[in-house]
Amino acid sequence: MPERDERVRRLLDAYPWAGEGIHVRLLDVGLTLYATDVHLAEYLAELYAPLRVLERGRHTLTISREGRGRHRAHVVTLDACRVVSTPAASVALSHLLFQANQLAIDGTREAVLIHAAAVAAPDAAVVIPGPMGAGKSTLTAALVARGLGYLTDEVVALDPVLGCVRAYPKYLSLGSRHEDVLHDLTPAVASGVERFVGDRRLVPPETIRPDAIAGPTVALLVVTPRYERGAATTLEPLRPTDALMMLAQHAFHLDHDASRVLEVLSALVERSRCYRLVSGDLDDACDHLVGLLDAVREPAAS
Amino acid sequence: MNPDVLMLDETFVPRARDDVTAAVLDGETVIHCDGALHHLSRIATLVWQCSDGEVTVEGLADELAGAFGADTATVERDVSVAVLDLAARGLLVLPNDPGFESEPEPFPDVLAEAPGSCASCDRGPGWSRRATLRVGASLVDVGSDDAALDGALRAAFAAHLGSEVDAARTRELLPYYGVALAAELPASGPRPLHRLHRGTTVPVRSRDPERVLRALATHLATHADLAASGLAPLPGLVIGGPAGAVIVPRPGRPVAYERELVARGLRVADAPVALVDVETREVVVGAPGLTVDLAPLEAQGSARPGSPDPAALTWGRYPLLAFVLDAPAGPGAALLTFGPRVADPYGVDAVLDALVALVELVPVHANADAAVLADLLGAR
Repeated sequence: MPERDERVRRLLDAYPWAGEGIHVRLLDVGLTLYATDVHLAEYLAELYAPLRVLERGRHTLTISREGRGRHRAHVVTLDACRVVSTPAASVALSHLLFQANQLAIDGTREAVLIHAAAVAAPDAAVVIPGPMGAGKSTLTAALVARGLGYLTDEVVALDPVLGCVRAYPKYLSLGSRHEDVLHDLTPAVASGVERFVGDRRLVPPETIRPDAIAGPTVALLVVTPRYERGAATTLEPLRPTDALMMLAQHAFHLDHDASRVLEVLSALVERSRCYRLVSGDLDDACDHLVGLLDAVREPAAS
Repeated sequence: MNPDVLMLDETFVPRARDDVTAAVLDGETVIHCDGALHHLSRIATLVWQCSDGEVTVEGLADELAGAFGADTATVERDVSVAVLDLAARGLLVLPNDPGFESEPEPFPDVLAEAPGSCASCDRGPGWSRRATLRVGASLVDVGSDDAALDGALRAAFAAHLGSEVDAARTRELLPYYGVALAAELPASGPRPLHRLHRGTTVPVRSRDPERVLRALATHLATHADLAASGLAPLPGLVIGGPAGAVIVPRPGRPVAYERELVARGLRVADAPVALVDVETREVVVGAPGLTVDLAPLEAQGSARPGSPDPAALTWGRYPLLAFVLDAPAGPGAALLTFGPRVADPYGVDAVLDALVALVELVPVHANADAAVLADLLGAR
């Protein structure tokens, strides 16, 4: 099988792509991205800039065109296996981005992975778990704009021994409804790429702040946010088992590795303060979260 | 909920399942069991930890009441509630549990979700009759709407007919395939079209009823054990001519494309995939791995109004001359065009192994126009 996979890589590398392959490291996974559309290739290179490496990845993710006339379609493949064939450019890009992230999740087994965002002060990180639409990415972008370090907006990789959150500085994925509150953070999309990007707001962290990306940081705070239009900001401490239940519900490999995942998450809960944050005001939510982070850092700093 | 839970009383001896994962924090417990998470209160945690399979509910209550200096009756009520709750969540071993050693009996996959299948979008024929077939590791229903056709299908595929139990498993599902053959010529207008249905799609329609019936066989054959026949399924269309065959991407307008090919003396195979013998570099057209008696199908074909219009590629083995793409040429392009789906029903490895071997041995051309193919395949 390794020989077959090597032949697949060689055959795909020889295809007439637009530009060089984009080699990236997504947590433990090496991936090479290719596109036939020159504008999209440039866009992907910018989007994945913080994750780029020199060596070719073990996996290959491609986006190309096939068919003729009104049957022309965008095709996304992973290691030469067809992920989707669709006439809609934005659907194709969605699949490509999803597959890349899914590869990172499936291929990273040493760290315990949680569906969560994370930002860091110099000596303490906050883990921000929550379902899609809870406001994780928006809160993360705003916190990074305020000077906190960016770790991830989607997959927290928790080192099982050190308790550190590893950096997975992928682009932040902001919903279109947040354009008004985070307008300044959203880079303009080059012409030729709009049809792929659609109404998504994909923000490379270094466009928020040049030095936005943080290194591995010990997590000492867990805050699960919920955006509620018009709601006053409230913070409610979570009981340890409630926090553990919530984190476990957002853990990626719980069914395969329950014992280790629960052990690592229990350790996270035991050393962290855990809260539920409800807010309808982004600035206010940031103030509360920065205050909490300062509070947990005081004993850590001393 | 397991009905045995309702039979539990104070004489029950609770035993915690030992195949779960638990984490205790502040006297409370989070348990992962059978893919679900459970949160146990402090009392439930105590009961769970004491459920060692040796003490009855009543004995457990006595022990805990003694340890905490509490009222026995109150503790017994709390313990009973906790035991019932733990049992209802499946966290205790119940008296009549079958045990974890019994393995479920292997059973063929039921092919129930053909493309487009769903109750709300089914606008196809009613399929008043259905034959349940075992093909490879699958149960496949073939629907039809008249007794003569159903009888012919059962006779042709008699070697694959499933049991009553098999039929019961698929009864509530839409048939994976269906065959609709017209019974007589209309009073006026063109000859009727006969159809092979796959879910709500119609992969083959023809004025030749026998072509439709043979197409059913080629489609069924793709569910057989292809590896045992030394064949790999590639997701492409086979086009044949005097010199051999080529594999092209499935066209957006298959009927119009076939008309152009037929006009140039070429034929198209009626199969959902191209079956390739990698060893011999041949394309196999037909129903390999399927035991089929063609006589009942031919008889049905003769009994229905029809005309050979146009004929499909004849069953047989053809040298694979080339992969032909829309553009560009090259082995990498063939890999992208004919690669398996991520969750390919034929198995990713089977398809990819064959494809990687073939694209380095077989030419990959870049123009699938009918005229170009006619030259390549030695047609007029």
